[in-house]
Amino acid sequence: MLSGKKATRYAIALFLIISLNFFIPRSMPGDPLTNLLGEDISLTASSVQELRERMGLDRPLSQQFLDYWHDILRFDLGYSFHLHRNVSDLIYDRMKWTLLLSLPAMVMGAILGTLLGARAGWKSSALRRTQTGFIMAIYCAPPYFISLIALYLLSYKQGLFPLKGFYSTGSALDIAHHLFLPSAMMTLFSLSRNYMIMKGSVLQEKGSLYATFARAKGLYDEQILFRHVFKNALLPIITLLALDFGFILSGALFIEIVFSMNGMGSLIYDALLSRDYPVLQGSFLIITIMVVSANLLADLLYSYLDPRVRWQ
Amino acid sequence: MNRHLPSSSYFRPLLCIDEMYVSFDTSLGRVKAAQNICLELHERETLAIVGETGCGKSVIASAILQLLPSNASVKGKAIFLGRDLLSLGEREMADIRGQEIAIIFQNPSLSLNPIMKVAEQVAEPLQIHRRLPRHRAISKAEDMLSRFKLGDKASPVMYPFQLSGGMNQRVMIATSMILSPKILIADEPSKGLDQSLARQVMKELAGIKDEIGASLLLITHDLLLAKEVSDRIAVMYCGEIVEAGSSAEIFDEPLHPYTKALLNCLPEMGFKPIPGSSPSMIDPPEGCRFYPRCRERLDRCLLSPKMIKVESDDGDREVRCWLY
Repeated sequence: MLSGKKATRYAIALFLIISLNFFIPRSMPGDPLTNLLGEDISLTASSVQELRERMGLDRPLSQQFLDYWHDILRFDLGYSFHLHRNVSDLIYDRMKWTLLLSLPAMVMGAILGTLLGARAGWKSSALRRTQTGFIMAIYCAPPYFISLIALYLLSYKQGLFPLKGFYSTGSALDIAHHLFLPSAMMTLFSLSRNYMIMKGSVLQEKGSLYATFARAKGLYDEQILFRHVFKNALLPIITLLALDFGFILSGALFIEIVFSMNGMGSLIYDALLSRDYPVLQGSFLIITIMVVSANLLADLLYSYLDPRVRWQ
Repeated sequence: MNRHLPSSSYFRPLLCIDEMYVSFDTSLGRVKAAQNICLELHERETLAIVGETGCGKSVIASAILQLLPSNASVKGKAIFLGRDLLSLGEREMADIRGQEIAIIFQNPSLSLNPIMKVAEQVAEPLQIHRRLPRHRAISKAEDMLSRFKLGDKASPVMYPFQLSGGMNQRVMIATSMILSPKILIADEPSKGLDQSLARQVMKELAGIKDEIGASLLLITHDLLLAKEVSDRIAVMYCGEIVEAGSSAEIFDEPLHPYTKALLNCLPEMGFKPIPGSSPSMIDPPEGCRFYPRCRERLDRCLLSPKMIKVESDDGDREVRCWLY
C-alpha cells in the first residue's frame, strides 16, 4: 500500500525537522546555554560552567549533534529548570489528559459532522437550513469566545458543571463530570468544520453523472447518498481529519486555558510565557511527530478509500 | 392517441408519449427543449430518435424516467402499462427505474462510480430491487459481465478507471440489462467510441435486447447506426419531431426537407452540409422551425405546421411540413 518512496520521504522529513530542532537554539543570537535552558534562569558563574560541561556544550558541534540524536532516541528531551522535572515526564503526564479531552471529541466531531453535513448537502429543508445557520455561527466564532459563554451560562449561572480543572480528584465519574463541557465544546468545533466541508463536498458530488446513474438504477433518495455519494464526498475530508489529528495536542490550547485544565496546551502556553525553552522544544518535537504521522495516516486512508490513488 | 395509425408491428404499444413538453428555466431565459412530443414505443421494437446534437432528443430520454435536474419542467403524459410516468412520485419511479425501464447514458466512464468495483455496480439493481444478498448478486453480475466479454478473472474486481470507454459502456449495458427490463433507453451509446467498436457494442446490445424481449428506445445522432438497428425512426429538429416512419422508408424516401438535408450530410450521399446553423431554443423561429434554413420554403411555412399522416406501404408515416 505504502510505497518505499513515500516511506523514505516521511523519514527524511522527520529527520530534517528534528535536526532543525537542534540547530535553532545553537544558531540563535546569544549564549546557547541560555537558549537551551530559558532566559529567566539566573545562575552563578560556577554553575554555568558546570552545566555547560554536563550538557556537552563545550564539545564540537558534530559531537553535540550525535549526542542530541542519542538522547532523542532514548526519549530524553532535556530538563526543565522552571518546573524541575524531565521534559519527557512532563509531556507524558500532560499528554494523556489532553488526549482524554480531545480524542473522543475529535472522533465524535468527525462522525457527527460528516453525517449531518452529508445529509444537509443532500437535501435542503427548513430544519436543515436552521441547523446549517447554527453550525455556521459556531464555525465562524472564535473557540474561546463560545467556550467562555458556555462556561458562564452552564457552569457559573446554572452550576451544572465545575468551573475549572479536573485531575486531582481521581474518581472516573468525577473526571467525566469535569471533562464533559470542554469535550462537548471541542466536539462542536470539530463537528462544525467537518459539517461545512462535507456539505459542500456532497453538494458538488450529487450533481455528478454517477449519482444520476445510481438513481436510474432504481436507488431511492438517501440510498444514493450512502451507497455512492458519501464515500466520494469523504475524500476531501480526510485531509481535514489528518490535520485535526496532527494538532490534537496543541489544538486544545484555548479550551484548556478557558477551562483551566492541565493539558499539553496549557503546558506550552506557560512555557511560552516563562520562556521555558526545553519544554517548548520537547513539545514541538512531539507535535512534529504527530503531524508527520497524521500525514502518513491520511496517505494510507486515501489509498484505502480511493483505488485511483492505490493503483497509481 | 387517435391520430396515430395502428402500428405496422405486430405488437401493442408499451410506452405512449403524448404531447410532452420539456423546458428548462435558465438565467438566459426559458429553454424549450422539447415541444409537443408524441411517440409510441411498441413491444420488442427498436425506435430511434435521431437529430443533431442539442435538438432535445436526450431530454426526452431523461424526462421519461424523471431524471432531469430540478430546473426542468415537464408537461404531458408518458403512459407505461397504464400508468403515467410523468405524474408518479419518486418512490414509485424508483421501483420502475432499473427494473421496468433502464437507461444507459452517453458518458460511460463518468456514469460509473469511480471508487466502486464494476461487478458491485452491476450487482446493485439485484440488491436494490430483488433484495438478493451481496455475494449472490455479485456472482450473477459476473455471469452477466462474461456475456459482454468481461468474463476473465480480473475484470469484475476492476474499477472503471482501469477499463476502456468501450468496456465501461459494456459494464453499463450489463447493469441495465441484469433485471431484464421491458424498455431499454440508450442515450447516444455510440458517442465517444470509434465506429467499429460502437457497431460491436450495438450488436451485443441488440442481441441481448431480443433475447429478453425488451423494447429499445435509441437516441442517437448517428444516422447509419439508427438505420442498421432500428425498426422505426423519429427525426427531431429544434425540440420537435418533424418526421416519423419505418427506417427503410425514412432512408429511401425522406419527406421532410430537414430529413433530406440530414441524409445529404452523410459521406456516401455527398457530404453536403445544411446551410445556416441550429436555431436558439430559447427564442425559436416562428412557424416551421426549419423555415430559415429550408430550400423548399413557402409563405405559409411562417405558420406552424401540424404533424400529418401520410400514405405509405408500412402505414404509420407522419411528417410535420406544409408540403404534404
